[in-house]
Amino acid sequence: MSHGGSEGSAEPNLTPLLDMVLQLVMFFMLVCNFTMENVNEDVKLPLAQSAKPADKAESEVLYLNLDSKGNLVVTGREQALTSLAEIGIYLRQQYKEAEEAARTKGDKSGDVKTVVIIRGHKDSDFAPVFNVLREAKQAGFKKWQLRATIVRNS
Amino acid sequence: MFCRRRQADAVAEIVLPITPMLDMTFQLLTFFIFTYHPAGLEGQMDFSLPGAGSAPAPEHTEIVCPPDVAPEVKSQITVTLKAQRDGLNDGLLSAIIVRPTEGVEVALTGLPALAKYLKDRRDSPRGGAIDDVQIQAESKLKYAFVMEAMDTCVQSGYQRVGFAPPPDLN
Repeated sequence: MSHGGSEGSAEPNLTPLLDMVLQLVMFFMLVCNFTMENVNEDVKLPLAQSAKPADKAESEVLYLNLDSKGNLVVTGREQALTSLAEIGIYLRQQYKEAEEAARTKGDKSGDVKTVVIIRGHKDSDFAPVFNVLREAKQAGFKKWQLRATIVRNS
Repeated sequence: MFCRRRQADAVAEIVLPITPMLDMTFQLLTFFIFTYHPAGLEGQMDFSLPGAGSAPAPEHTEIVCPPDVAPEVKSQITVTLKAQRDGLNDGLLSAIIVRPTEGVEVALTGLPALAKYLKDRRDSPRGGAIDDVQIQAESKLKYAFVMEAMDTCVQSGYQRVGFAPPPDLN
């Protein structure tokens, strides 16, 4: 008769709650994509069945987001780059920075391995996409990819 | 006195402070819930660009090789995509014109027809020689259609797809 009703305290069992919450946190940490800051969510990508899952092994990438009007949206800049001259200057600057970064890493040739990733809005005209590609090539970049939303065969 | 201390050690319980840990965990959970945007799975499409100053595929290519060497033909198909410019459906795909390096130019009605053409050509005895597809889209064509055409080419078995400058681009 030592179990006195008035002295007993009801403590909630927090262990399963904590387990579940930690599992949720782990799930979100795993699916969280920290490269999202370079990815403009307003850009609705075109659909493609043959698109391969994005290669995340590429460490040096340059995201170029083109909005529905074909303007180049650059992270950190309020206004999009509209003219071809502005885009060219921006890309040459990026190439120069990538070259310097390569030299800093010990590559004396300064060979730029940056992959230019074009994320074009599906409603954009083709001309701006091609112009950006051409400017990137003229700036010196050698690798590029187009991004699309993968459509699974039903 | 020594015995009394040992008794006190045995009674002492280690209390883990759950509350701050739980607080922090909930804060992390809230952060991830608010920053999580389940978007469609993004994939990559590889392609090639023409060299500087390159022109569209030539009308006729003559390949000369010694008789004892099997000809390694690298031919190309140019797929021209035309855009509608009627003021109502501007930018939609209006016509597809396929021009192989050797062979006749063919006008197709849509992407399923393009897929059929490419598959038939691929399955033909000379299909093994066909390497590249070059997409030449008009500048006002919506990018989505260009990607659809590219997708069609890749699905038809042509892995090397590239872009040619739009014919109407200044």
